[in-house]
Amino acid sequence: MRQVLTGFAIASASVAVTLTFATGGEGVRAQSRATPAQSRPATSSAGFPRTPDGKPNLTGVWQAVNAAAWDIQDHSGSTDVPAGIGVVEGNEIPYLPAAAARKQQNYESRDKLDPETKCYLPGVPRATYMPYPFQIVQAAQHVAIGYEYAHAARRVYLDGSKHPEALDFWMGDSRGHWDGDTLVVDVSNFNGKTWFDRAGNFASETLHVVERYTPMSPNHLLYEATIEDPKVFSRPWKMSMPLYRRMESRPRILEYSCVAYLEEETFGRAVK
Amino acid sequence: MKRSLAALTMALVTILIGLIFAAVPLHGQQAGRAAGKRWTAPRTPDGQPDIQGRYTHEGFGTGKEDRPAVLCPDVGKGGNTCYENSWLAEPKGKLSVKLPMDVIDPSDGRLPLQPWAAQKKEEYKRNQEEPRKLEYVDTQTRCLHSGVPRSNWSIGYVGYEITQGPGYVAIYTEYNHEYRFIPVDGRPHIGSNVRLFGGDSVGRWEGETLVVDTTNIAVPRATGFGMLDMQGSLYSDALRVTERFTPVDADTIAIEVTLDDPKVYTKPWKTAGAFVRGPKTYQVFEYACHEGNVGMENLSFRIPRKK
Repeated sequence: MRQVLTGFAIASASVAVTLTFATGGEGVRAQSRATPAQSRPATSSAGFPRTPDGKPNLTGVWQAVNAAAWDIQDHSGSTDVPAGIGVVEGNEIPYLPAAAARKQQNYESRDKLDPETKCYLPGVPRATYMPYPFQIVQAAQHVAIGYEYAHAARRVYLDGSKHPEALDFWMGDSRGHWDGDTLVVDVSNFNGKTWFDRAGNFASETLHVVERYTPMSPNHLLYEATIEDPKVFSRPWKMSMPLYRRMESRPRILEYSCVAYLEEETFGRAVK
Repeated sequence: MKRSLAALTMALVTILIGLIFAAVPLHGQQAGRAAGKRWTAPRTPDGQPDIQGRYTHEGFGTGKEDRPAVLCPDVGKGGNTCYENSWLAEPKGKLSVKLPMDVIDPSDGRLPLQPWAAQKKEEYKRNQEEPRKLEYVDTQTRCLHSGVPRSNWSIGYVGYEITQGPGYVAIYTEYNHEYRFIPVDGRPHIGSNVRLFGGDSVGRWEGETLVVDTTNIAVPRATGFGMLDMQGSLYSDALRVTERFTPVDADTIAIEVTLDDPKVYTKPWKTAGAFVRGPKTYQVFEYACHEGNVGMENLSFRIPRKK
């Protein structure tokens, strides 16, 4: 019975999507930021820790402090949602018409559709600005990144190697290089199942992200991500935000063991 | 019918793997190059022995009683094929030195389980094929953390990547994407009320050996125990783990693990194995376990849900 219902729901949803397609994308968000586009904040690598080979040393625990996890665009507060000034340059996300409809649908059914509610790996750039810290250990040829949320992980290779062919991943495949004092990471090979936030912003398997990590001050990084996905967006767009170094003495990431908590919710607790 | 077919297939595969192992000369037997001589690893910029790279694991017994004889033809002869490695048709790396690869203490190779834990283990083995309780399903099947120390002998067909930055050794376990960021800066453990499935690991270099002490271990609350293997060998939140990682040549890290868990075992015990460097082209990727866990869906339908 439940399967039949689900099937019906999917069928109805498809009809709804088709109808929206046909109307020529009235779902496209038309409004843009009333204020002029943000200018890029000043960055300075003076005093930033360095590795023996002279590169900025990103080793440490970092965290975004904003409300992008809930919605990467400008939004007011509501129950359990902190208000936020968006992180998207110009605030507008250039969805293709069909994709705009899908975004709307994602938003409406976010409690069921958001991969985060199922404890799935969050993808990139979403992992960066979830409300959990992440830890970096940097070596000359390799940057290790571990996220507190669901022990998501990335390995960024700086050895000039290329993305593998015909493999896809939740967290994508990351290959990086240094552009002066900026770590540039090219992220590709996504599986098309990840979202950008809890508001239903999404991408497909043709997503391509270029991240830039630039020292702003000894304890801040400017994080910029250029998003490209020809199946979903009409042009590349960009988000940016500062990342803050966790300043506790000897900081470390802990665990948000989503799958274990989900198991406990499903089967109950054997022990207190 | 389906069951007996499956059993037949398993038996055939088992025999096949046994034949392959029998045909492949054991690495350990050709070794001995480094016997008696200590390898000195190159140093990282901050002066740590440099053990970075991509590895697979070998060895690590979790009790002789659990190994089907055919899969481990060399048990007791100091060989290095054993139960967990039965996933591998052939080792991805190669061992150039002879190393212990088993339960090394107690010397009989059997786990010093307390009677109740031995009973639980038998119960697990009887029930694992058609589990009617979650506790009869392996934590890896449930896509929970392998945790420490099991991540060292995670499922056999995935690898590890070690990265070292100033003050840290980071060990990535490909299976279920688990990072261990092990500080080697002399910090104390965090407060005992913070429980982590990966535990709180603090490390120090004793000459060429990385010694890692892990406490604060969490166990899944839905069942109350962690699992060290696919055979129901349990551990509790009282577990304390000491690991000794010693590079013995350019491609091999010998690993000795001491498990001290007074709630489950009668005394501390030790198992040993190794990380073996993969070929130059070897890469580790993302093993997203939970996201595609059909196995759990198929297994868990008989298990009562929370009301």
